Amino acid sequence: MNRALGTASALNAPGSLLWLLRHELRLAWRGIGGKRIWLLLILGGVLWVFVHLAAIGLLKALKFLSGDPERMTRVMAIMIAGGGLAFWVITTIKLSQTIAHSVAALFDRGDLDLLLSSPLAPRHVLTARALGIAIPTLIIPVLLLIPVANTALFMGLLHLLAIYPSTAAWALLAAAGGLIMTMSLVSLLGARRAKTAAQLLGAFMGAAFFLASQLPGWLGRPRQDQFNQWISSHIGADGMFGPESLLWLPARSFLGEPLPLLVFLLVCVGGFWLVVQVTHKRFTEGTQESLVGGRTRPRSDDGRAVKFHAGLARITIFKEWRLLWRDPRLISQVVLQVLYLLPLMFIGFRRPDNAHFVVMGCVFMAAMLAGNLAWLTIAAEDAPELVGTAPVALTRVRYYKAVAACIPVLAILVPLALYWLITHPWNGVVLLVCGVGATFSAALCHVWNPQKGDRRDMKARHKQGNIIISILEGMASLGWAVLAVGLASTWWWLIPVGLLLIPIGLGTAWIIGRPKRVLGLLA
Amino acid sequence: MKRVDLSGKGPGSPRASLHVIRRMANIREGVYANIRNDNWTPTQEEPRVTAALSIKGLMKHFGGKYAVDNLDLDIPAGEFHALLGPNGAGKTTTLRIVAGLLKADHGTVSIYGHDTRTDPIAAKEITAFLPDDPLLYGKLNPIEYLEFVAGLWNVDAVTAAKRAEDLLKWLDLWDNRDELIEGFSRGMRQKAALAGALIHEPKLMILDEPLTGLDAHAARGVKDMLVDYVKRGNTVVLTTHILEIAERLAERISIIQKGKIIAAGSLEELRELAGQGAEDGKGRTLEDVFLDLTQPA
Repeated sequence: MNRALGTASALNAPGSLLWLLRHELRLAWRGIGGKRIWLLLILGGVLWVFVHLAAIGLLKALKFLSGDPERMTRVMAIMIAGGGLAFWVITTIKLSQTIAHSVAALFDRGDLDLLLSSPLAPRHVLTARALGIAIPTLIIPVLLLIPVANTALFMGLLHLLAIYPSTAAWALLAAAGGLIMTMSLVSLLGARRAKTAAQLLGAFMGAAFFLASQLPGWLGRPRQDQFNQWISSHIGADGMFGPESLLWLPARSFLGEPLPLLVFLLVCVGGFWLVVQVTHKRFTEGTQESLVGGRTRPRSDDGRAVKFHAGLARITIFKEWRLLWRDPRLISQVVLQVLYLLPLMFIGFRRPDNAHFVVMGCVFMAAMLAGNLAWLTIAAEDAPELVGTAPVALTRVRYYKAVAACIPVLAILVPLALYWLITHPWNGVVLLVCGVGATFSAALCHVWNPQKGDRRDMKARHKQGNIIISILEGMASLGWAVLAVGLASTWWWLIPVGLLLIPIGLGTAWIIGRPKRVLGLLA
Repeated sequence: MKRVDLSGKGPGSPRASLHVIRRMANIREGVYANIRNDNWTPTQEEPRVTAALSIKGLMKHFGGKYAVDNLDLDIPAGEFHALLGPNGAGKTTTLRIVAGLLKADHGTVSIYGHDTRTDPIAAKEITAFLPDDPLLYGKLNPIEYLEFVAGLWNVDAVTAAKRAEDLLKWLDLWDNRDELIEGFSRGMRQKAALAGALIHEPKLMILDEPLTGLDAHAARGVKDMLVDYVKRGNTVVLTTHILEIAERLAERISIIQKGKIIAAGSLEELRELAGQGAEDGKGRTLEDVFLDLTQPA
């Protein structure tokens, strides 16, 4: 007993792996949900209870089917195929998550310098950090899979207890994958560029699955049939994706087949261990590189004189574009919004009877993009105090910034509208008028209601500022979208709704923002 | 460090308060004592009466507590002035009000005769504010940054380009002109911000801890530049916690505590003020004087 207590105490001692892991988990815990953590926990708890109830139903059905071996075989095949596909889809999402966490662990968290400068072994630090990356990926499996295992325990389906180790191993696999991908990027590109590349990779991996899932809808009936045939030919007994394929091994592991379970555990735990061992040196090198900043080679004097451009408008617009363009993470976040709307466009272009929805989607997309970009250029200004101390009216600078935000949106919108002007002239006119209107009204909301924001957290921009302004911006954007549908369809009654929403949103935004505009940066 | 016993003669005592008030009255009348230090010799002996910065009855409160409490300060044109004070004394709040970044509850601020409330654009045109956290854009290179600052201050493009080149060469950033500022060290960032502050040739420079992070060469360069800048008739208001800098550079020093100026004058005058009754008042450093004047009553 004393010996066991002593071992536990040694494991938990300052500097031990467990102690470091607790540090990681404490930071992760504080990063989840913020003040809403208790609400999330309650909702999660309720969901967990419901999943348990669903699991009881599922397992009862399975028990019932076990009396009919033929049907049971078919059901198991479906479960393996469905579970296998789900495994790979969720693994991809987990990978994007662990890449993001690896980037945070490598580049964004200040405590790494402290840990690495301490007498702790770097390998220990990395192991704890890798586990810290793995654990958040457990949230979805714990919510959806663990209830099945819990229920199976009470119902005597002991082979399903394999879900417990498989779930843990899955998290380790995702963490190892995320770490190795981030580390490979560091080796290839250097720490600074790797950070950007990893963020882009993580963001686009999530979007890639969404777009792939929409692929059958875009292909059209003949190509869709061809695709289905190709899949059928490979899913047969001797096919690439046949029952014995390694593709389904993880699903078999979760269902408790002994050999797949053993192989899966070995691959995941071994892979994790290997990644920690092999990359810990690279990990510290990458960290150090990020600290010194990865400077470029100084340029000697090439005799070229400095040339400045005249005009504050031009200078401000170009400055804003440079700041946006040089932050690929922001670009990716903005582009992702467009990517998620692409399926809607394809559907609309393929089916003209749905054109009014596409017009609405495009108008709303334009407003959303313009709102985000205007928020970045106006609210997320890096040096607001520099602009505040300059002898120029702040609102004037903000108008220039709004123009800088609107031009890229119009560069996407106008060619689209012009294409439609040729093919469907009325829809083209509606898209042009409402799209341009929505773009400028979203940007104007930010000019009239300047707020301070942090561009590193663009996704949470609505939480950073005044929620009322976000609602008003949304109201005006919705107004333009509704007006566009009304004009492009036979639902004429939507036109007055749109015409009402736009001035309410914009007018209220203008009135509410007046004191701030008058004061400028003064508070 | 030898501490002077100021019991009964400290900043809160009637005698010292009278002295401070008399000093303040002299300052308002534009009577300033010249100061000698290692780097600078005053060129004119006449009193300078044009106020580069004039603050009258300035008040600012945050949550029921006054950060600036009826503060008066007059700084003549062509003076190197140091504003010193303990943490939380109200230095930064005062400077932010002067720079037009904070609204005062009460009082007036004028820069070369331009009231910052009624004529802010004219006041800002001739002012540069350099806070301790440089106002920079990480994703711009120094040339792009200076182009933007010059645009904000409406400096002619050709003139600004020439100045930018000169400033970057002088500040040893010329070879780094194509690098993004986010990759710069703290000292390089400070230099880039300083170039931004100088691109429009301000008449009044307000500097909050300008030498933080600079290496010895760069710090010496900046100090020489500031002295030279003042020699040419411009004005510098500087806050620093490194009292040797104020001691070496400033012609006149104001000490702020709890939102009020508790003492102002040349180093000699401050020594006199702090050393009243003490035998060794003359040889003491600014640090001794500062600690004596700001110690709790």
